[in-house]
Amino acid sequence: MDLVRFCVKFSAQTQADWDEVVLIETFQRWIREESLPGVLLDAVDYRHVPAGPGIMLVTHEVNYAMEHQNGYGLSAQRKVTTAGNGVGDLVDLIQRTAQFAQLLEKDPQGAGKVKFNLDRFYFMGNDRLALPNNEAGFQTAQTLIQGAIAQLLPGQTVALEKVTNDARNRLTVAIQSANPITLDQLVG
Amino acid sequence: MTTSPKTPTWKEVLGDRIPAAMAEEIDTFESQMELRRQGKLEDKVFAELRLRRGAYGQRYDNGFRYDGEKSQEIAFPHKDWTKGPDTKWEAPGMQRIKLPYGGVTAEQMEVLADAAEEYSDSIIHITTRQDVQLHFISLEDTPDMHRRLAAVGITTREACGNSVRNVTACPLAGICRDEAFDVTGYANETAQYFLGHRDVQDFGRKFKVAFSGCKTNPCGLTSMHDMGLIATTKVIDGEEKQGFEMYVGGGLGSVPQLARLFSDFVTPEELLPLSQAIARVFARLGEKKNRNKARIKFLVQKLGIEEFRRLVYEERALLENDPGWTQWLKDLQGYTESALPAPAVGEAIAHGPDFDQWRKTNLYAQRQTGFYTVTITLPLGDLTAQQLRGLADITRRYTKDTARTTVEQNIVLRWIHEADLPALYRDLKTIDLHAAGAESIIDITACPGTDTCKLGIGSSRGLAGELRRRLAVKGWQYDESVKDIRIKISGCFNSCSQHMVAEIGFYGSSRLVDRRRVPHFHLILGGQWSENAAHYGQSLGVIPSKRVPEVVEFLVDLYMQERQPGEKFHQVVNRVGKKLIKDRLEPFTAIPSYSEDPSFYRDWADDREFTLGDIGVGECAGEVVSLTDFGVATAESMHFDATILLEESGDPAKVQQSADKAFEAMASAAQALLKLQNIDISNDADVIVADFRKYFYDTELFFDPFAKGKFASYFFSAQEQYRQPATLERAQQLIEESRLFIEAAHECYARMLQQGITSPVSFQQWYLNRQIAAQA
Repeated sequence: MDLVRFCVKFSAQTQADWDEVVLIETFQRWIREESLPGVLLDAVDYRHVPAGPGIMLVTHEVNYAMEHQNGYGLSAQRKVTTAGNGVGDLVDLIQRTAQFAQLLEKDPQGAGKVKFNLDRFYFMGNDRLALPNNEAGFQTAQTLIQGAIAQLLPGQTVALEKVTNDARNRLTVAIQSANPITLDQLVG
Repeated sequence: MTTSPKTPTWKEVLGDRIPAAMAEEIDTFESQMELRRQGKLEDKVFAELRLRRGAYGQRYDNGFRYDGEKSQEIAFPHKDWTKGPDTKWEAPGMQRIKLPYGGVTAEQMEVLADAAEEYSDSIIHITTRQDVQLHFISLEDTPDMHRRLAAVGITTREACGNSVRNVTACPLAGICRDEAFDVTGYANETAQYFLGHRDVQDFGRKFKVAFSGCKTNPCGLTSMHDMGLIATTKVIDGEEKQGFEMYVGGGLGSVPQLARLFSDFVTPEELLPLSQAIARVFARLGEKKNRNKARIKFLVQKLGIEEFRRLVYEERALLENDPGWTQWLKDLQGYTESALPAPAVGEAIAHGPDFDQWRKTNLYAQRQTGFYTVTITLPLGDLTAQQLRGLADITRRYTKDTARTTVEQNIVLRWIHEADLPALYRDLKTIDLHAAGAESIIDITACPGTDTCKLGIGSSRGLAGELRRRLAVKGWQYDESVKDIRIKISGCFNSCSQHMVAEIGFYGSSRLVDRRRVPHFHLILGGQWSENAAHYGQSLGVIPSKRVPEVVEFLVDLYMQERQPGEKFHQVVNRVGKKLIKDRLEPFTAIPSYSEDPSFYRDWADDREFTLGDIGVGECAGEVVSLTDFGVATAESMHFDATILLEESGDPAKVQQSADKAFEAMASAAQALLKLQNIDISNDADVIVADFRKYFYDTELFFDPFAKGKFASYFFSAQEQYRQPATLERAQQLIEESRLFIEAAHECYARMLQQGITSPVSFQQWYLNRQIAAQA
């Protein structure tokens, strides 16, 4: 089984005057200007869905969503391999997500209004065969995550904790760093 | 790739849980995918094969996307790989998943939730035909997705393609206070009988079937289906028997048609053989080459219902007896549902006024005393995977797995004990599925539109989202006088949201203003949701997309001011008159210049400059251009006059005038275009038709990218019957065709401008170049 389908999530804090509707214009502009790596496809508006994906940027490789589910933040769902191996794909996903977050923090629409918190971020398995929501799946995820962190943040220690949730939900692992992590570090 | 040698595949894991026949089909499809990858299976053939697995295309799958400034080629890694003509293999697609009669179990909900997360964008969408759709799917994922669905009894076979689509039925079947009898079993057995049946594999187009439990309420929408069955009873030899009124040849689409009565009483024993005979006649005699004329409604129209009926009974007499027609009848009782033996919770829980409001709008008191059917209102038909899992738990807790989807894009839970309502509401609240206002003015139906549909012209979901937000604040969903006004929005004229039977309907359109495209929506009034959707509305012309919310507010205010006691919205519309309403809507049609307000030049929830593709700003050619603008506007005015004439449909003279005017409107639009070829084009209709055929039809200049020459054929057909005696039905049809022709004229004009055809000189140049190219 190929380990390709998984997600990461960075929590976000927003200012009181943040209106997510601006993301529609932002994402359309990023597509036009090819502001992110990958094949950028479309911006999708799901604001009407409570605790839903908010506004998404769909790409060939990754679906990005500034979502409301389980707390507001940036969720990135990997769909296809780019590195050819699980650790490489996770490294790549985290880098792309960090790049997205950095771009939004600097964008005229997001600057000063959105800030991402990386002290604790999340990995979600999105393949119930390869990464089941149980101890075995957690072991596989641990190997994957530790391999990725070793490449992204050499020498840095992170604690991995399996999030207790409904067994039917996706395997979710909280990644807690002993030292603060910056977007610059993750972008690489 | 990082692999785990011990990790099995879904095929291995699911094993025998997938019925053998379904497993084989999916394996075959997987092989066909491989053959297509190797180039050993023709594009066109593979496209039809994947459609018959419900794997549909999505917008931009031709590999191009307008980014607001230019058409951008999408850099898919393997651009040469295709999954159909002009369709990139790696482009995201849509998976349609059938739920016969809308029935869905808790277990199925969980698998749908998993599929949405792993293969899609975590959103499950309920359609206007009780299906589920998942978007942004990779074709590579479809075999495994199909396996996982098959393991819980769901097939995607023939969800799309030229076959029998999902069989729909009233979501209240079995519990309805008004039904003749429960149609659930009949709907499901019809679906299962025809699934993969040899006699439904050779259609020229899709075939949609619907079952209704009664004639007066709209749940089944049988009047607008290819085949509609309405439960009824008849006394035969002193005994009351159950059977069906059978209707054929209905449809919305671009030109709506009401279904015709095929038989006023079909026995259960004859339901399937007669349906099979209809299928065989359709397969044998239905149009196959011209896709635009291939629905069964055209065959019924061409033959006439009497001859169609004769042919069907003739076919029926030749059919070899099939035990499958009737062997299920003895087990129909198996479809009878019931409630949990006692309330699941039965707890008295204190709720606020929101619970009372929810009770008023979301509950249906079943005919079985003490039980309710609860409607879960889904905004634009969407819910998340997590919400659907939560709903699965609720379904198990409070019912014996009795949930169904509805054509209004909601889900209903049946057989809820009254004592469980407070606890159920509490549980729905924890997963944000407690919204009130089901089937009310804020429960707006919208097709995917330009979000994902390749045919979308307008942002139906963007507009629906905006309207929901605005109307919810007004609280109209609780106002008894207006809450039942239904709003339905389609992205184009194909009526996927059934806008023609809404009290207020819209479908996407566009207009050129100062050489820029401005998104508009046609306003449809006069539709009726009641009586199984038997009355279609008519267009009052176009409204700029950004003004639609104001127009809705205006119309509702007008209704509240003008209505007399007991009068419904459509009755007020008919009494006040569409002409007066249109006049009063005139101020809403004004469009500010681009410099004053560029937002008008963008559609809802889409920041890009509005476009229909690659069309942008054309060149101005002064006098001639304005003549064409004027001519098309005149055509619109004449079309509207034709509509008004039909308001006196009891007067045969007015009906005739209406039919003639509809053709004259088309001729005016055609003449307007011809002014770009010959500024002195005659006013003689015969000359106009002949020149239009030569310069616009034979050259395909008028052809729509998808509909090709369909709209032009309406014009030619109308000319042949001009001034011949017209029935009311014919006049109504001509008006619809005239509307579409005029729309097509607008689009043709815009394309011409973009190509630089702006004067007789440039037209002549283009025409000559075309002739030279044709001879080369």
